[in-house]
Amino acid sequence: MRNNNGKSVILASSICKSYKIGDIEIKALDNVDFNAAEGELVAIRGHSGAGKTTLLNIIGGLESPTSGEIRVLGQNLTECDEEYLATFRCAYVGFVFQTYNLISTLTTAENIAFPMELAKWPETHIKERVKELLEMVGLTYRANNFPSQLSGGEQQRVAFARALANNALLILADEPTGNLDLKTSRAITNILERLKAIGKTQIVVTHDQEILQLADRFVHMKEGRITQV
Amino acid sequence: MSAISFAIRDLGRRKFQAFLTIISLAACTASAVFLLPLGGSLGIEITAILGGQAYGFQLLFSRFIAFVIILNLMIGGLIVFFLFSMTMSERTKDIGIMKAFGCLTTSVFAIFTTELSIVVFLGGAFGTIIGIGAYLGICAMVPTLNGYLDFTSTLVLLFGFAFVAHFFGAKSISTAIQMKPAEALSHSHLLGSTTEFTGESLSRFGIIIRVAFRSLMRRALPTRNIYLCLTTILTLITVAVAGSLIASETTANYMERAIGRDVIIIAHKDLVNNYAALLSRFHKPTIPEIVNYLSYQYALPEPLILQLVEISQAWRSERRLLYDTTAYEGYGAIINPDYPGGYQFVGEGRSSQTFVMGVEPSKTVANWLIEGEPLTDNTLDCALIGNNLATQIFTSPLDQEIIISEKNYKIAGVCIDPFNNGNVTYLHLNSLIAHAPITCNLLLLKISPGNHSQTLDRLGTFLATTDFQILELNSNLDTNIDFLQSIWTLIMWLPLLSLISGGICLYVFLTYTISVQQQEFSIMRAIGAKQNTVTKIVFMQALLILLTSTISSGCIGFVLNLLFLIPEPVISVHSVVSFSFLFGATILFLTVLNLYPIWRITRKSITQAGYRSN
Repeated sequence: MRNNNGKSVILASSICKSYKIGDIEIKALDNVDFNAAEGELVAIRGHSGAGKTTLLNIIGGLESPTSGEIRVLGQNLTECDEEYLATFRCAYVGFVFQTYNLISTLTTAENIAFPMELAKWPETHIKERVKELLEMVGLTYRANNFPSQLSGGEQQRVAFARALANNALLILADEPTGNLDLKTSRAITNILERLKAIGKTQIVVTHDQEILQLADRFVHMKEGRITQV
Repeated sequence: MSAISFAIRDLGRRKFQAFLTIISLAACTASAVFLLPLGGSLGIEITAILGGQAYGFQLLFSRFIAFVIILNLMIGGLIVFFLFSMTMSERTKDIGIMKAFGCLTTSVFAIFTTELSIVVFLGGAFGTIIGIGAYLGICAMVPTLNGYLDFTSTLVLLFGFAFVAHFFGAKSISTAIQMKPAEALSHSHLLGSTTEFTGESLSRFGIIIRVAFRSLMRRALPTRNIYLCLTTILTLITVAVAGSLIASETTANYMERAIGRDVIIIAHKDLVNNYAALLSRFHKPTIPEIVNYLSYQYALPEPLILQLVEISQAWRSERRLLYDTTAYEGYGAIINPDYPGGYQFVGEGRSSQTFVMGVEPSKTVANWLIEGEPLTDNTLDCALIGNNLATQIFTSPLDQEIIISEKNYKIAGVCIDPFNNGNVTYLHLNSLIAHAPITCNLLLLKISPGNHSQTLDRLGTFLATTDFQILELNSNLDTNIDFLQSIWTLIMWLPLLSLISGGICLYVFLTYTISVQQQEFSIMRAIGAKQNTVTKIVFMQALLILLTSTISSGCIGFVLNLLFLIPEPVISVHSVVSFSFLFGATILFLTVLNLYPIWRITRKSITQAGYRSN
């Protein structure tokens, strides 16, 4: 189902991103226009090196474009400094990575609490929210385990819970099922579906057929360009 | 490819790390190599303390120098252990690949041991050059140092250093090469990073302390190694800095107790000159005039003494009789279960030219630091001998007798005394009078410090027409104290070289910590942590290491100083303030030095800092 009625959450126009390796310039993104509306689930697919992750990084404010303009939730990210971007990500953006990227020295509960602690939420509120999120991803019994003691699927569920900790409006997921088996992937797809139901905007880089079917629309990227919408 | 050529190429590829290891080792070697001949030049042979043959000032200096050298040796070993364990942590994957392709464990061990030997050799060589160069430089500046170099001792020290460094280095290499190839190649494996520290109580603290503490605990092996390394280095600094400050005041106090403050001597002008020369023998070689101390012309008549005491309004007056003679070592017995009857007879009949001073024990202006018992009015057959005489001709002085003018005296105690550089014997004045032609040739007066100059003027006027003169001892006392303080100051600054090693170790540890955690730091930043938060986490790690090392080393260092190295220590507010300032400066130096790797990480953008989304 495609949602075109919501207000625009992401508005990227003429985005270019190039890297220099020695004397060689590599164009990761070449004049990309991209947008997403509130509550929309957009899937991005393409071959390795097509620029999917770079686009996701730019949307999340992890990288700046070489040229072009990127507006997320009405904020022009190209004009923001590093400090502001960190605050922005903490408040509005939730990241999920293929390799889970949990903080190894923190327990499951502490990993989920981490963005809330950064946002300086009251302790009682953090505890309640962690409990609620653990229940949502079905990992209450794993609250005090470290990432190294969890399976891949469990780690990815913790990563989703962390992404939702501050009630992020925008979820950016980079191949969230890329390292998981079919059964575990389905659990992740269920989470995406529930997030879609509660109106979260989600941009997901994926090749997973179930997620592609769930998406409102998908874009295909090739050699730094969007070739199909 | 042979192990040597592989090792040389490998070191060449990691120039900076190899350079840091060599510099750290060179710093430790240099301070040890510098101290050894310096001790010899000051007349403080390390062998004297090892053989239990040192007393007084010599014992104090020898203990310090021996202890600083031993700590330097330990630091050298620990630095090699730490830096090589860091290297091995980073080389785990290489080891896995080598072993996966069929390289034998012994071959891997040979390669890294060759690297170790090259680094130890270069560090030792540079350190020796710097140490000997610094020693010769000091000798050129201080004429009283003889510039003698004992090559045998230096070689023994260097072999000891090489052995300790190889022992510790090989230990860290063997731990790393024992890993199975699959373990070494595993992404999740990092040498010494297997500990998961829950630390429930930590949840009360903020996220910064929690992450910093858990990260340190997770990499338990490197954390333990840097803690050991820094604790040993900071112990050396505490021993040397606090020890030197306390010892400087304590030895100044010993000196003041032996000579006395506001004490003047009145004697024949020949004796006054000789007395001054004999007092300054403590810090410079002087030869007194040859005189017959017991000649009638040097005797102080009793009516004159009474007049002088009255004029001076002295707080305390003491008659003394000084003369030079030969002292012989008397025999004694010490308990030794290995000998028949359980006793061993000691004494070889050795002799030494010495000065004998008859004193009035109940009236004396001196209050020597004594090992044993002081003289009393009832101990006419006892002697108190100076620390240098005890070292020169006695095996176990407190169990032996001293023979002066064919009469045996039981040695009651050994005192610290600068007079004739500790080669002196104090006897009860009454026991000398019976054999000597005169009863007194020195009068010591302790005068009021408030009327010091007026008293000296009155006495000077009174003695103007006589052959007797006044020797004011305060200036001699101050010169001797200045000399002591200059030695302690020199010792105090020596750990600077070790401090450089400590700084390098902490720098390497933080660089390693940052490189291992880089990915996690960028994840934190990706989910909203500011650069400031990451900086605080790394800074907190450095601070935790520094604080724990500082507390441990401070305690160990003070216990060593106060319980083992300095007898009857004098601790003034000045010492405490100076130590706090210098130690604080040390910690600040280490902290500032390590801000560089922390600052470097904050300069990187998230993607530069190793961020990987998949």
